[in-house]
Amino acid sequence: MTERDAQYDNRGRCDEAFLAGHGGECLSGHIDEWPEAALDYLEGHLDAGRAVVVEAHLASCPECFRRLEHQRALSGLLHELPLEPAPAELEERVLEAVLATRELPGRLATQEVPPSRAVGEASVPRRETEHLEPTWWSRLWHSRVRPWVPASIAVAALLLGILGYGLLRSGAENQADYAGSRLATTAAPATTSEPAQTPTPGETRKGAGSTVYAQDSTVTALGSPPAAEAESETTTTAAGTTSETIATATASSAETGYLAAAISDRKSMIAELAQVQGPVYFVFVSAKLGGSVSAETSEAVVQQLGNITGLEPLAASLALDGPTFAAYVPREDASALVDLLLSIKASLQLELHLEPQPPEATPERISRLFAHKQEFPVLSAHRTPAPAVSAWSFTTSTLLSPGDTTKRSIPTPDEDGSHVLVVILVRR
Amino acid sequence: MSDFSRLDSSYPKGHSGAHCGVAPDADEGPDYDAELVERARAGEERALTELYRRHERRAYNLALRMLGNQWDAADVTQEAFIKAFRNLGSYKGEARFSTWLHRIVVNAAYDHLRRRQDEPVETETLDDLSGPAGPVTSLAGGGAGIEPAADGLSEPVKRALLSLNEGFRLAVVLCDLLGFPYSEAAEILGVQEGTIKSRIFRAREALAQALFEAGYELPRSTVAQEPGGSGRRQSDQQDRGQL
Repeated sequence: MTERDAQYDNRGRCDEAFLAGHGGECLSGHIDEWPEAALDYLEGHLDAGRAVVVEAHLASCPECFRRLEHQRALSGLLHELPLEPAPAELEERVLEAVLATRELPGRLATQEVPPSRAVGEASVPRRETEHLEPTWWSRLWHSRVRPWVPASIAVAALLLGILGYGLLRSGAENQADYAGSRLATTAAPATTSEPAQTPTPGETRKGAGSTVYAQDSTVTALGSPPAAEAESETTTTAAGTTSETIATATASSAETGYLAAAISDRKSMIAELAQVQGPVYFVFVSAKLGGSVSAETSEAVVQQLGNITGLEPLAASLALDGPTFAAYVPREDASALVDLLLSIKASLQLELHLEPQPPEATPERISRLFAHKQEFPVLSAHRTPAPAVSAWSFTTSTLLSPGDTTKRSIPTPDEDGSHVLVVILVRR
Repeated sequence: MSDFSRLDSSYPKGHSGAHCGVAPDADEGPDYDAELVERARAGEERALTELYRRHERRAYNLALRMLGNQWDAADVTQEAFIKAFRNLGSYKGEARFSTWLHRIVVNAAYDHLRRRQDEPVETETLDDLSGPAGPVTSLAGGGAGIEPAADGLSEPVKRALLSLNEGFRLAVVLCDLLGFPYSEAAEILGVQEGTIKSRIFRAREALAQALFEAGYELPRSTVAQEPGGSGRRQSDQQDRGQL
């Protein structure tokens, strides 16, 4: 670089009088200081005045001329390279998956589907598809090169899920039993960085976090195989009641694309997150009078959520009626998120609702919140590797990729439907 | 003085108009996509098939160049199309369908990369991939392992591409390889058009350098004809391979 500069600086001088007569002005420096003009010149998009300037520089600077030649050559080379055909099976898989869910808006609008069927089609089969289908391709890859095989993990998780689901259903009417059964099934897996602990009163913050983590891993073991849920639909009366709630909620959102009413059961929450269009609000409320969460408990939620996901609460100026989190969550991570929040709910003996609008939040506060949409992080769930078969871990990342300095006009991940904007509120 | 004028005349024919290349679907234009989207929304399965076929190749190649292997690329392409087709209802038509779709592909590929980074990879894995296991994988020492499958690009170009920083590679892949106009590539990546041009310029410079260092010659290249250059490069020239 320095050699080049030393060699050509003197040749790059600009004849100002000549250029002024052609409506141009001198370019400063070499070609890498005006790459846009160089590319526009290559493609003939530079206006006459500026083209004259570029040509004047090129005529006097062989180095820049040579570099522009490379630009042209590389462009031509890449442009003429053939594109690879996509695998032939891909088309069938895509279309099958899409058509099987019958979620083309036109089809939904024109078909009358009984509510119970609507539930099945709108939620369960799609989760199956999203969860299992992508790994079909991966299997070729993973079976050769990964230290563990996703297919066998899936089977193990499925078995764990069926086992755990039975336990869960048998204790469904009792919240304490619910949490207990999840803990009971964890015995095997937890080889994550933080060991499972029995929660004790007065634990430190960190202790509280790791307890939830252990619970979380179990919850996911129960929740991850959608097939198990589908097959167990008939178990208890409690489940029957729930499925009616889901039917109503899902059917309404299938029509509108938006969550119509508050829901609080796991399955409906997951189904909603997988398809709801607008932002949704998870609201932690106290089971006791008034619903407001005490300051101490509220702080515990913030700590647990922060420890597990890395999310930080929004600044007080943006917060709604209590500590508030906002993040974009990939739709396929809906169950991981719901299970995480449910585990926090259970450990702190709170209630959790998924709501279309937060209670008592003014439109001004909500619009102020969404004015900062581009700053919200993406919250992704990751399966932790074997032998902690069923555990999830979470990571957050910002929308702006490293080195991206333009903070304007960044599309947010919810705009293309791949992510859902989730606001988590602890009601104070 | 006349030397540089041939830059224009010899420029590939595909590069005309306000495009950095010609889109594969340029014959029918984005309006046809809009029509297909409408028909798909109305429940016409054939419209979905047509939409898929019009965009599958570019979507797949975008994923392939972001992820570095066919298996992950197939996964991500499948996932992106399914997401796009299931969410046609939320597509407002403000951007072209291809812009919207490829933004989904980019997001899906980033998600995939994030997940992949969290998975343990044993040493033999890297050997098995002969280097290009992903955008951040070093290419050093590659070539000793099993090539997963031929994937179209010649090996030196593929390696040079993978050696680029991700932002630069994406820009050059979208425009030079896939033929997106600068403006559309900018929309897909959510950056300014000027940023795209600047990245492409720098990416091509880095590619030229990487190819030269790997012993390859650009077509009609003047790499070895540096004025005042040493005789070493001239003699290297004789050993250079063709891309």
